[in-house]
Amino acid sequence: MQHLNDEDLIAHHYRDTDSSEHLRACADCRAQYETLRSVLALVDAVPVPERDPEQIWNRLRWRLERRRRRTWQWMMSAAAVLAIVFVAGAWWREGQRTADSGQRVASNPATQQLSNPTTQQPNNPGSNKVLVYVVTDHLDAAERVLAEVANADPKKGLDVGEETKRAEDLVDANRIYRQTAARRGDARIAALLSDIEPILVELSHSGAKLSPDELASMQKRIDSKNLLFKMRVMSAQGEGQQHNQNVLASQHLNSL
Amino acid sequence: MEMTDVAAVSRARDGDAEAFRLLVERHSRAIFRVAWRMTGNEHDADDVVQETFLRAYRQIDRFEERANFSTWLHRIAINCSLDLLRARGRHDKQYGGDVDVLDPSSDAPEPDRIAISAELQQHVAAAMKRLSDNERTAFVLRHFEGMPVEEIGKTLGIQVNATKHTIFRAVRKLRDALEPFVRSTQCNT
Repeated sequence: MQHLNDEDLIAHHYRDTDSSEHLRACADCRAQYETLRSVLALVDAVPVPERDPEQIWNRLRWRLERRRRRTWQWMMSAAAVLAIVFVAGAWWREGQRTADSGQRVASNPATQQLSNPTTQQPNNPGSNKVLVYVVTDHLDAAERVLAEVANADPKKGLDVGEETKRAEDLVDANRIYRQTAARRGDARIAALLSDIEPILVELSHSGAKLSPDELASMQKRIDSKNLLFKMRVMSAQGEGQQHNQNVLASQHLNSL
Repeated sequence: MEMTDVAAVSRARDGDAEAFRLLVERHSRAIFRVAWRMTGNEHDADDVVQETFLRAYRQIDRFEERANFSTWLHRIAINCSLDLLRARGRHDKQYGGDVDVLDPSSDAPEPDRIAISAELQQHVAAAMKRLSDNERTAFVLRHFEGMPVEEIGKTLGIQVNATKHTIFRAVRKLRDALEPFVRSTQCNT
């Protein structure tokens, strides 16, 4: 009779094969198998350390919370980056479109005359939106200066040291925006900036204090052309566009 | 009525931390056992348990409801243990901490169940230490977890025949190392 080898005994132990018949008949193999069983029983007899599931959970919970916080921070950072990229992209696209249309106008002899503000080119709604949007901040700053003047008591005159400095800063910007608006054919913006400019220039050249007469004269020019009202309307339009841009940006983010 | 694993998984997927806590408390003992047997020390086993549940939490959407959650979790625990062993190159290091291999022929103290148990622990730990990573993993999965040879082969990335031979080698090494102590124990009792 051929004896079982180690592999046969191990396979029998794990029930991969069945050598029961041979083991019943062969005392040598039965002894070998008993030794094997005793060895494996010894391995089984080693006690496994115990762990309290609650302690495991407490340690795990802390790590899960830290992970959730990190995930949330990462999502916030990603959303911020996406928002910046989206807004920058929108600006760049508008800028490209504006530059392209400007180049087309400048390079075409037939349309070069349109750059002259006296011969208006047809309005380009896209570029004008950008212009209003950009001019809004400037109009807000100018409105604050002019409002100081308009609301002052004409009998007392006005200390304009601070306004003079702010007017100096605004004059150059106003000139650039006015020329740009004229070149783009936006007569409304150009006209408004044109009305504001002499007042800003005068204010920037005035001394530290406006006399009651100087103040009354300036207030009269501001009132006669409804400058504050027109500036507020224009600013409101620019803010409306800014709001729409923000809504579009948030809709874009929500759709991601 | 106690919540089933499938129901707890479903609620955990929706962000219910208490449901996930239930799964941890229900399965953590078994996961610790397999991790301890595979790594051979409590500290590593604790780390494996944590990593196992973290991975399970991250991948809970991938769990198929028709599968057995315990089996799925065990598979993650085995992979975590293997990753840890491979990362540390543990085949050259000690299994089960510092182990003094005792001579079975030395004068043993009076047969005392607790003393024998502690001594046997050391012998078994020393014997397990002599197994390679693959041998130990294959043995633990076959002997303690009752995993079929084919599945062990898939876990280790080896063929069925190679898996069988790995198990045979592991058992043979254990028998060679522990047989003298078995005889000694049998003589003492």
